[in-house]
Amino acid sequence: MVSPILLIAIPLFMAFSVPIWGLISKKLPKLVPFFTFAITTAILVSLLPTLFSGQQGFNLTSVTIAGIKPPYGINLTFGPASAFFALIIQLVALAASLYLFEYEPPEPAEKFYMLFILVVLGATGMVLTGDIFNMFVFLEITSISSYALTAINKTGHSAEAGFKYLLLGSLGSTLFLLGIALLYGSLRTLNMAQLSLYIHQGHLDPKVLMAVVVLFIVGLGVEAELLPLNGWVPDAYEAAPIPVVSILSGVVAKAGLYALARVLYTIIGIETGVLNLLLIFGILTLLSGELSALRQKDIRRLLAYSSIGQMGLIILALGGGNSPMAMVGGLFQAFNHAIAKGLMFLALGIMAAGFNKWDMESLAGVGKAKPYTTFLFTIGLLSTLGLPLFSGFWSKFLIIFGLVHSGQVVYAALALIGSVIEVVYFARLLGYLYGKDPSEELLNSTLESKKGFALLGMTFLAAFVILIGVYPDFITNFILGGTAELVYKSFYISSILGGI
Amino acid sequence: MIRRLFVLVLLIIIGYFLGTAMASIPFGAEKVDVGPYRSVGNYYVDNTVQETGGVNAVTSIVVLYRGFDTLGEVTVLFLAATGLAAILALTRERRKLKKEKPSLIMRVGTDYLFPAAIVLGSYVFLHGHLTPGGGFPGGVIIASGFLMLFLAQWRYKVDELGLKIIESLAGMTYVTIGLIGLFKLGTFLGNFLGKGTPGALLSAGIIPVIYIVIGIKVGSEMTGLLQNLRETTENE
Repeated sequence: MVSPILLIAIPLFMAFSVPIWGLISKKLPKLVPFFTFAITTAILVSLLPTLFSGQQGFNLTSVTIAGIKPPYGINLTFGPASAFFALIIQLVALAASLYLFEYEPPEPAEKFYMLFILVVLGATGMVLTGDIFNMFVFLEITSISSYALTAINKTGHSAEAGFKYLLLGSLGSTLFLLGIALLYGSLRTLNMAQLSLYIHQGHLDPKVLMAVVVLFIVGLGVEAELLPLNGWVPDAYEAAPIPVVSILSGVVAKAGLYALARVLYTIIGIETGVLNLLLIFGILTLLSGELSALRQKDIRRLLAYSSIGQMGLIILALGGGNSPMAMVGGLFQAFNHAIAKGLMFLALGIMAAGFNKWDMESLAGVGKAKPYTTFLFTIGLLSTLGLPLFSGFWSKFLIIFGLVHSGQVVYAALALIGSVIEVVYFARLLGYLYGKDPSEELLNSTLESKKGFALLGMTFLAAFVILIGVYPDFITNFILGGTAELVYKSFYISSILGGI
Repeated sequence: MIRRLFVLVLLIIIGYFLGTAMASIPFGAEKVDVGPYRSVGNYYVDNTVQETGGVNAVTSIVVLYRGFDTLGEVTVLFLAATGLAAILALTRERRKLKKEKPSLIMRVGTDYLFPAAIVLGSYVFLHGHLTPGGGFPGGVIIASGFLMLFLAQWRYKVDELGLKIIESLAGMTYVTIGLIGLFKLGTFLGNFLGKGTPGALLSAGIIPVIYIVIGIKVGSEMTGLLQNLRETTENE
């Protein structure tokens, strides 16, 4: 009886049970996130073989809840796109939860672990659900736990960052809800497949459609780090605890991205010209992120802006959906960015452990003080740059060629310029990390060998970066299937409503 | 000044677009089926009693048809309480606030109203499948009883550990009910209990069970939330 619903039910049960474990022993809650994600990852992996059978080479299962068939009840969908994003989320969460073994969370610790499980659960729900209101509920779970986790350090700075995120995030969710209300008011259904069918058949007033498109892009753009809505990102990444930051960039941003792709591709449909909007938003986000990263001294802020730039690149690639190649590159890049950025943030946490200074000057020479951690950090960095033999190479290559292929040469050129800027600041960062001698203070900080479990989690992520760089076929099936699932909406609709 | 004017113009443009979009959706009109499927609203009105055994259609929608959303909403409330407790912990400054003693009317009135609030709250969530109400309002009514105690008796404190455990157990029970449905019927949150006679107290399968769990969970969460907020502002 293994069902995708367990990916949501088990973490929820475990999150509620944290205080009970705390009664037995004060040390147990620390282990709960890791065991939860180990179980869910195992369940997800055991479900993966069911995806690639049947005539099309992949299939999409609809899981009903409470035995009520869609569109009258809520359903989960388990197809290549959902499974792919769920896999990204689980891998990053697993590595980050190993890091928690070595991390002393801010008090009250139990609450921290609950929030940590719930943010991952919310993101998993967002990528699995087949009902748009249910997606909103999971968006709320994801975002509310992220606000709390951002502010949990309880310094003035973290309170400011959390409040900023809270304001933008709740504005975003409200607008998303308004968009859902407009859709429900016109079409009287919340099931995504049925909405997609009705919009395709032209039951929706074009004026309402336009309002819905704008509301959805603005509403989901907060989590997906789109340009005018990403003001919270640098502050939050600077103020939140490091394992949380890796979750924010690897899990929350990816769930927002999936939601954006799902509503625009499946529900609205790309024939309506939404792709041009994505291209413009994407390139602006990309260039502004990369340009701002150039000026940063604090490494966390630098990585935050680089994260914005990468999200821009992915959105740009999704905007090139007329050419499947760009879309494939975009999904691939989403995987690479989550793994590489997650790895870099966790490694940064160890590099600054017991030292707690995050600017380039203070961390100069860390390559000599903590060689293995810095080496892992460098793997993530080189993959982000898109060097051959690292996973990031394939995705950047596909995106640029896909954009050229679909006739968007100007965007391809601008994306290349973005990549060049990226090389400039990352090369300078590497120069600091390796080129200088470490300070006394840095040499005396916590030894990396004392953080074994964290290093294990990071090695696991780094292994994925190299494995997929050398042998990309490992995930190609998911990406091709995921692209097909998103682009061919008739497949999605018939897989869910077909049986009725 | 120019900035304000710019914002004003922007708001007018956004308002105009949203307004025209809203105007094309008829308000209060008969809910017509749009396409080949029945609209969900009409479907629920026609089928609730036969399919769920609950006579309160709203409850059946909340707990069964869209039960997964409700599990999510319970989680959202839990998160709000947890997040607040996490952020407010340790920031409790010792501040002397000027306070007036609760009046005699307040103290005596609370003695009588507190049990009434608890009974009413329990009634509301126990009868959720029969009459308007349910777990969320029931839980809030119970919490309001505790709010009265907080107002009338300064030193009154609810045992935080107890609240935490009740909250956890209620949440775990909810998920477990869902999982029993998954193992018995093959569908999460499936209605594995008999539907009974519509209108009877013991009817509608798992709906009353879930509403009791939600009532207890919401009650303990809101009480904890109120206690948390009180302690941050008035510490003696």
